[in-house]
Amino acid sequence: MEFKKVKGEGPERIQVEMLDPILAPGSSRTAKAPITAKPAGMACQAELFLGPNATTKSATSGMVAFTSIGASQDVNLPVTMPTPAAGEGAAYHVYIDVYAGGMKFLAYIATEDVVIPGGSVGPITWT
Amino acid sequence: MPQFAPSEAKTAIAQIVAKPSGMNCEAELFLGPDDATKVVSSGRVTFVSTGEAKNVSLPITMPTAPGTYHGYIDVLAGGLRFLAYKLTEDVVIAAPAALAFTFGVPTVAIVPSISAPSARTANFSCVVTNNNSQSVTRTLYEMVMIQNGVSSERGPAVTVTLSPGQSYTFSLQGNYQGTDGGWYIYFMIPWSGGWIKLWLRDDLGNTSQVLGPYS
Repeated sequence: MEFKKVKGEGPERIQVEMLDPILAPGSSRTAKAPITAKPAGMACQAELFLGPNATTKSATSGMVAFTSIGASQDVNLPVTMPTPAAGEGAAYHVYIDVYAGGMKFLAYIATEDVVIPGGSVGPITWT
Repeated sequence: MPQFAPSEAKTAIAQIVAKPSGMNCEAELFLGPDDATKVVSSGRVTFVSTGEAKNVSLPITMPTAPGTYHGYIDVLAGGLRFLAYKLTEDVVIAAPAALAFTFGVPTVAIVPSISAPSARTANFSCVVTNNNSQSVTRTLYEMVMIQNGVSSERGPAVTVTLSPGQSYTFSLQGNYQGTDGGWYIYFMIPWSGGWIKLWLRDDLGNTSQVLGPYS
């Protein structure tokens, strides 16, 4: 799944593995995000979350700590997909934020939503 | 339970709600003894979700083997099966009952034998009608019973195909001309000093009214 940069210095787009556009409710994924944080040696945190907007978190990896190396490094961000109400399905925007010292200095948004499908099948009629 | 004929082509219309809207979805109806064994299937039928109830047509050809089958509907998006339903009623596959003609009231006329006028035989007639909604083919036999209770066919059988509503007059003349040009009879009356009874029968065993005894 591709992400485009919203804020900060770094590659305009990154490719995150292990995230598919359509996922089962409650399924667990560990997204592997190639993050470039500069300078090296910073104590950083990264978070992947899903939600209808950048401030509402329907599901989150939580803050995952790592130390920057000044170049691209893979950061694993485990997340459990939301579980919509029975019969419901929804599409979620996906965000990756990177912090250092409590300050968000890098932000990405996925170029496509993650969809958790839902629904129902009513009685059938034969013709 | 819905019942269909073997190999009959039917379409199930399933009301499917798939959310969110705009998803490329696939639905499949299949019949089998369990949800892992597909005896017959509609295959994957594509549709785009609207977020609301949508009628999806799932054409399927019934199994060839009679029996009772569970029905299942799966709905997928992006290869992920997110809905899996089992039909609340099994599907029964049974060969349709054989269709028959309706017999009219037969008639018999006792006539002299052409070859031996002192002897008698019978002319038999009976109208059969196809009162079904489809074409039917049946073989008809005129039957004779003699006084000792033994029954047999009298004369040649006739195979008839009738369209819906069509009638046919089965008729057997007691006198018939052989290939040698001579005249013969189907059963003399009286037969061995006893009576005979006559009726019409089809290959399913249905019968007309029995006429007689004639002696």
